Amino acid sequence: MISINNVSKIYKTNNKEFKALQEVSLNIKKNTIHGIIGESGAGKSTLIRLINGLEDYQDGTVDVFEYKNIIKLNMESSRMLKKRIGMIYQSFNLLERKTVLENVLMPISINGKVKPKDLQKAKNLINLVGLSEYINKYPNYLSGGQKQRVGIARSLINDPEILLCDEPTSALDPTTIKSVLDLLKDIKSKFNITVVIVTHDMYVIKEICDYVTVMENGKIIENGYVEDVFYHPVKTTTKSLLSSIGLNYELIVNNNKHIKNKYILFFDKSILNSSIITEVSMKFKTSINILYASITPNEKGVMVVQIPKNIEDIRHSLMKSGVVVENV
Amino acid sequence: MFSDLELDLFLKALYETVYMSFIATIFVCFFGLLLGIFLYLTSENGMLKNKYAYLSLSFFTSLGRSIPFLILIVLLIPFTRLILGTILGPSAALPALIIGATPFYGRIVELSLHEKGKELVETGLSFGANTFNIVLKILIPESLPSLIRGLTVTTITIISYTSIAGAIGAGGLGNLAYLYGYARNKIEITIIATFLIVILIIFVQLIGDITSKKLSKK
Amino acid sequence: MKKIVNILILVIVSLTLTGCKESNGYKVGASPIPHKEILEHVQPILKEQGFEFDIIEFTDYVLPNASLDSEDIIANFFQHTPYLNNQIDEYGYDLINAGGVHVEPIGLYSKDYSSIDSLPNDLEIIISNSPTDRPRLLKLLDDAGILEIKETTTNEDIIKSSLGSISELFNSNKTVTFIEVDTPMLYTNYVNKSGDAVLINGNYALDNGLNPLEDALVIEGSASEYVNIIVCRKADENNEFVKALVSVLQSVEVQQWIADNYGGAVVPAA
Repeated sequence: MISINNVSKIYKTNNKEFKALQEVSLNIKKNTIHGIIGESGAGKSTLIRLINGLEDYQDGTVDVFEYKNIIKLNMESSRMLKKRIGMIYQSFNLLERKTVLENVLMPISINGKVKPKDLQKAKNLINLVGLSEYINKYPNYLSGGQKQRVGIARSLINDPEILLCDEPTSALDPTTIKSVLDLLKDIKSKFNITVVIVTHDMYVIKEICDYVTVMENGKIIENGYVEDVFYHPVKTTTKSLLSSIGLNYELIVNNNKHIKNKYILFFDKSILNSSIITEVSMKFKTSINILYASITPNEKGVMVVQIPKNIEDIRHSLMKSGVVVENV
Repeated sequence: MFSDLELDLFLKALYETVYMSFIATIFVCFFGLLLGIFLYLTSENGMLKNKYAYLSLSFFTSLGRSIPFLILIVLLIPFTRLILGTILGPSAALPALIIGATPFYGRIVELSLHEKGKELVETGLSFGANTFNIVLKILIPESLPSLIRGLTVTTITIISYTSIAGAIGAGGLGNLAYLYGYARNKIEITIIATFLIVILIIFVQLIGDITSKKLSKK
Repeated sequence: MKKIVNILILVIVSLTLTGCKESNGYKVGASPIPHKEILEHVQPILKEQGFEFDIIEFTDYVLPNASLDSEDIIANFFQHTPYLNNQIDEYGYDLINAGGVHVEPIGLYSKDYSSIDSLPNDLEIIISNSPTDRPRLLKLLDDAGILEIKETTTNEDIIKSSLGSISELFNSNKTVTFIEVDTPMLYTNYVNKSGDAVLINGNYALDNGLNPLEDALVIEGSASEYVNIIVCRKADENNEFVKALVSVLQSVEVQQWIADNYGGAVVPAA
């Protein structure tokens, strides 16, 4: 659905070159929530703006829907493309002198006349994001979370197939973040939208993303399913981002070097409700010591355990139940 | 306190100042807005970024702002005569007032648009809107409170320019205060004329503040 | 306030003067045309009499008297008596008139009308906005028969009147309206045919290449009280150089030279 191929972008300022993107390639699948994470200046905001043609680039191609190399599109096609992509922003970018309703209708009213069915749709969307009582209020009357909800409603007015979110929770307080993320998740499943989220917060990735792309210095350094990246991080940057949400079992492993016979267990939801650890522990008369355990939003789990003896038998027994056991 | 004649003197001067300032402000508002928009659009962060267009616009704007107002009046005499048929009186001061204050307001407009410009333009672009609609339906409406504040400052500048227009017989309160008050050692005329200017400026500022506050929707 | 202004003026003057060529002789301040030219003409004559002096050129009307008061110059030559009296009133200078030299006549000019008689009944005249010039302007119009100043009218009345009330100070069978502009704008209004006629001060007419004798509908006569005078400090009333300067300027030869050289545009007055 979105295919970015070998894209490079260089800013030139006062004879100095800044490589915002270096030969970046990325595919984003339909109907997924794809997170792009990195420190500030990693190029993630530039990357997301490639998708709706807000950023140009020197090399490579960006294909979205049926459009090939979207930077070369004529005005009309470019407008059609943008109509099919919604976007929300860190600073919400609402029009302060327009009401909530007028803001939600803006993508239509700026390009032409608002029809009665658009008005009805806007009202439904405002209802959906839970702001029906604020429909005629101005943005300055709203809290940050409410503003972002207006932004989300606005981004949906043209029935987009893709929703781009540029740091959607960075200006919000922790209690609000969760509710906005839940809303995004709802919307994704309700409207079958592909969501692309740029963030610097691993919590956002952990909460709602299926795929994650890690960026550093204009390059993609890791890319894949969230749990693959979470449980097998390769790069230091990824690991340090993960440790910010306590989701770094390697850290546990490394911090407990004095403990011998450590193993890492990977499992999925089929065994979540069984007492498999207790069973093998009793069966082989071995006390299994749990050092770390975590479960992802997709209900896959990881565990770091100490198994002092009978390891081969225990491994065999666990494997049979669908648990992957790896040596440290 | 005054004879009818002196009252007439003040009323006439007040009328002249209000007439010159009001008409000039209307034109400056229009031309300054156009100038400011083009300065903004062609600037480094603008949608129609064009270094040479920006530099030449910017040059004439700075030039217009740096010519002393009295000299501007003199330089514009042939032009004023051509379009108005006279180089005397309050009307004849209008071209100089307009051309003198337009660059001033143009710069304020440019600054106002830059304030929230980047985010708003990006939002507009993501809607697939063209430059014209982004300026007309997003930038200007959103910047209106700050554009009004700028226009208030500009109007007050125009009012202070009008006192110099006395040089070409435009009259006005400033001219009255100087020529009939100070130069003739009639201090009470100076005080009252100055007081009227102060009242006028406070009035303009008040209208500007109220309008801008009303528009800002906070 | 005035003190501060005076100090400022002094600073400017001393800065201006230190920029000038130093000479052991006297310094005399003057406006460029015709005062400086006339002084240049008498420089060699005075040298024969043993007096050397430098001419300091001033382009404004406040500094020459301030410089004289501060003893930076010994005499100046640019003003007429009413202006001097006004300055003495204003600043309290101890200055005196050492002798008159010439008159630069104000003239009534018009591009549209070639004689006084052809001026319209609804007459718009553009005048200088300088208050001290006003009585002189009305006097000229009175002499020209355009209006008649009432006997009860004093110069003070004329100066203090507004443009709306000035018509009450004279009788005329025309409806005379005045428009005031800055003095340097008078000539501009004349060439742009503003109003029906313009009263232009002599030096501005000369500066802009007008010949008052030929171009004006009417000019002031030499009997005018607006004779340009040599001014010095009261203490120098009997200074030999000042006495010699005045007597040379008033001599028959120099007065004739003025008449010849300026073709009547500058009228000898001694």
